[in-house]
Amino acid sequence: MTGSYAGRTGLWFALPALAYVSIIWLLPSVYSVFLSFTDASILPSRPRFVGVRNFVELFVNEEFKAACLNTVGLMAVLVVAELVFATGLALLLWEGGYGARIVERLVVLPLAISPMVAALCFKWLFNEEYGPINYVLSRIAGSTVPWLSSPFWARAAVSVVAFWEVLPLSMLMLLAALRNIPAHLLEAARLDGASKVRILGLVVFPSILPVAGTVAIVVALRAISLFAPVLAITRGGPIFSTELVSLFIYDCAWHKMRLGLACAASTLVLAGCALVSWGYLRAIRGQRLAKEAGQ
Amino acid sequence: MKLLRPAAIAVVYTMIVLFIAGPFLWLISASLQPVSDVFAYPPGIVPPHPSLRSYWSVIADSNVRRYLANSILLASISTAGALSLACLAAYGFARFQFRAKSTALIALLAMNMIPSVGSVVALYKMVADVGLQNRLIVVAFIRAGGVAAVIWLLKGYFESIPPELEETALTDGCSRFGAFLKVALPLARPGLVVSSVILFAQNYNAFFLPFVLIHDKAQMPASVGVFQFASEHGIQIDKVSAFSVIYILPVLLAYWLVQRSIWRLKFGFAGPGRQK
Repeated sequence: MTGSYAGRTGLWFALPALAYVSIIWLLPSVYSVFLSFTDASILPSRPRFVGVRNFVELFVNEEFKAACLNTVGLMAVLVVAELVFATGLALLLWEGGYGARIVERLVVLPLAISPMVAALCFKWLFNEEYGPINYVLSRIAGSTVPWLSSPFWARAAVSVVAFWEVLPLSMLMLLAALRNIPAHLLEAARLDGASKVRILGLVVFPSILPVAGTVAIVVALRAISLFAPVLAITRGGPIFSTELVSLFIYDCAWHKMRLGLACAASTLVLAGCALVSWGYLRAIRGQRLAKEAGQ
Repeated sequence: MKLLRPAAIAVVYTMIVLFIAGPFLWLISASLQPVSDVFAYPPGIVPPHPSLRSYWSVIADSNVRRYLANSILLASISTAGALSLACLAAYGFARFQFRAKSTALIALLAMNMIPSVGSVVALYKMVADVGLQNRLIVVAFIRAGGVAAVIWLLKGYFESIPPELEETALTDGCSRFGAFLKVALPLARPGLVVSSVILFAQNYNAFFLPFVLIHDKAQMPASVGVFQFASEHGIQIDKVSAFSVIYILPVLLAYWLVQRSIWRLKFGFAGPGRQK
């Protein structure tokens, strides 16, 4: 490889960023794990060690149980929906043709829009009495949908907002994967007389599978940190149907002043994410090794 | 390879564009008409009596002006900080082989994946214990730590610059740091522009951290301010949407300007217009 020098100099260049990132991300995470074994409050007081009491409390807490189930449910729905729709859209744009350029430019809009603005906007769109969505539904289907007062539809509304926010990123990643498929593979399949379905199933999908895995992880992590829409649109309701772990942690720390309990919930989130990320990093390492072995 | 008929593609494209851009179009439409027209029955997307009145009243609000100024300040400081850290690190990773390099790169990626809900409570406690909550500058410094993705992006960019130019500078007696500063950095300018737009947009839109750390209106950025404004003004959707449009427009325009380069750098392919 040209331009690669041995020696420590590179480490000196990288050190400020590594040190800073560790202080900003790693230190609070470690501190959070420590605080989860204490009765720390949001008010200035000296935290006392209470053992695993916070975790025991979480396991019997109905609200936390609901938050966990909702978060996992949202994650599953979002991952499947993103993989299906983002892949479909990426396939269409990959073909090119009429209108593809304009759609490609418009579809990235949500990446640049503040999540809070998007949340407020969707809150009005989903308004049950005056919202345009219900107006259109009443004209087409003759009935309206209780978007914010029924547990099922409130979950659907939150999922739609989350889907809208993550679609551009998933689509761009999959589109990049499609454009990286070597043209000669497709040409060879076509010359062999393979049908569209067989080309998709035997050439296209296997080639984008690793990227689809990355997309699934990115989307799953987005679902865990989703906050603005549930805060602004549903506030976790009705009856905790859209309560997510992020909202539970926020309420726990800033409304119930139970910082220790909030940190215990954060620790469980961290453990879950660590598990997912570990699997992901192992997978990309494996991929890289396989690639190097192939060269 | 044709998957669908042109007519079917047109229908699908229309639905996608409506879904993606619909909320944004509705926002603009709502900001241009009085509330009575926004909720008129039947609702229309084209304002019957368009006016800029809500924009004037929002701009006249000193709180709104301060929220916007705070957001620009917050995003500028954290972008400048993150970019300087990221440039150095990316150059080090791109040009040198050292022990633990791949571990460091993977560790950066892993830390980038820690969701903010996992650490924000403890972060608040650390900041509050030393009495630094309610300060914009503290949020800006914390946000400057979000550099991992940009390090990966710039690493790729530096790798694409031929190292011979820096080697010439080195033989002419330039120090390694001087070669980085005077030769490599100016050549990486397109990559830096794209990185700063990405970072600026992220920090300008960031909500969770400023929301929990700042409760004082004088220090609030617009991401939190627009939520505050919406809860204060409730039903006055014309004003809230005018504020929202003013708030999101700069980043939206910047994003569109550099969009093609973002795709080439981040995803390794050319955007629309450069496909074949």
